[in-house]
Amino acid sequence: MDRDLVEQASHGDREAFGVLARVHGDRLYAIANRILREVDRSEDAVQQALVIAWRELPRLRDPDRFEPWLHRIVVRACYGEARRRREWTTHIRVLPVDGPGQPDASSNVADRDLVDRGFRRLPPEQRAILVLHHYLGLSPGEIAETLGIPAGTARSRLHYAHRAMRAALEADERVAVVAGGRSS
Amino acid sequence: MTSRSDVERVLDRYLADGAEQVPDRVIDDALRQIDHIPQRRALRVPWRFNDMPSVFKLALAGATVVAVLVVGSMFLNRGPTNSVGGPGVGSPSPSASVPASATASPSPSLALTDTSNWVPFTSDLYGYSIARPPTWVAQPATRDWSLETDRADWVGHGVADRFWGAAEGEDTLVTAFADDVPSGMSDDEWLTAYYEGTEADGQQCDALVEELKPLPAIMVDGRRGVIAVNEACSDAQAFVFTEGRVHVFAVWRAEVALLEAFLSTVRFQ
Repeated sequence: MDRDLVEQASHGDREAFGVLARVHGDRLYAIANRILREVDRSEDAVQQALVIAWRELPRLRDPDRFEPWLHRIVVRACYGEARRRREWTTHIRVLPVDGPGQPDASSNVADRDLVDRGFRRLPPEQRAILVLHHYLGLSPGEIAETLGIPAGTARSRLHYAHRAMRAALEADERVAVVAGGRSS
Repeated sequence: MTSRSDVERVLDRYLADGAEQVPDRVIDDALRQIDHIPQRRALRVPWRFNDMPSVFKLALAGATVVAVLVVGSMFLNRGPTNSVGGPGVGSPSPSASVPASATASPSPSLALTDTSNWVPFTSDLYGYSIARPPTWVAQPATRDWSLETDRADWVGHGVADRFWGAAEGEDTLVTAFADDVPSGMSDDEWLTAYYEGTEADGQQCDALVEELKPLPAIMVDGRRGVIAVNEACSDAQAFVFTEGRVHVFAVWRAEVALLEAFLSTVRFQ
């Protein structure tokens, strides 16, 4: 279905593009929301991505590549949003705790807060690659195709993103230990 | 919790959680916007001139003459002994070579992009250095570019230093190569010969010449050059003639500002 719609849209069919936007909008939003961790910015990124996709669609050579191409555009829109607002750490909020069945809810809140802080410290490029890998389940090769970068670069970025995330978590843990020691 | 595998599991859980549904108004707003936004024309990498239909070859050949006049006139208009209008194909003009000591005012601003963190690349083959954005990939040329066999092949598989990366969300290619200007050949004659082999796919680049817009002269590492922009094919090429040699720097699918940023990092050996 996508292929026909993409071809129609690339020839200026706004109705076809509207269908594509509604079909893929949720996924774009999910990606943006996870990279930016902020509702308003995510919505802006999705809107920008759709506008850019419309404008640039005639340049997409292979209609079957529409979805990864769209993902690339939304990721880049997220970069733009992130650049416009760098003060990530001033807008930390703890996301909802997972549903029932968690062994220790308070511990989960603390852990999630820790992860959230660590994730927000990463540059947008690293957050994006983690979202593509851990949320979309893309391999480094698929990430490379999506982002238009060499596979080796995707692998190395993923490696560094994991390392940075680990370092951020460890830094927070150290702070927590020191703070705990002072208060006791 | 912080071993590598633990970090990956933590991220799996963390990123599984989050919003999944975009509000309708977001899509509606975007669709309202595109009602007023035209689509950009499709782009193609120029294909081999030899693959083109004969009729188009003839048309392009004619158009090429105009291109050469445009580019040639850019040189002639600057030279103190050159007349306006420039040479036609097959009517060699006085040399339009521009000496390094020319007094033309330099480009007002080459470095439109911050290149301070760019990665240096040196080409011993072509005798220059340049810098590229840190995320870009460099592919050095493996053999000399030659006007005789590679004319107008600025895409340059193997014959140009190639730099791949993303600019404005698009895969972008910057290439660089150099060639000796044969003894007795003027700069505009060299350009004439260069464009005689112009490639196009006959579908998208038919406005190749009509849209070839000359820009103000540029200075590259203290040497004068010109940039020719072809908006129809979304490419731009800079030619820097110096000491019997021409350096060509080209960009495909990006704004000229990006090429200018690359040029601002060029140093000739």
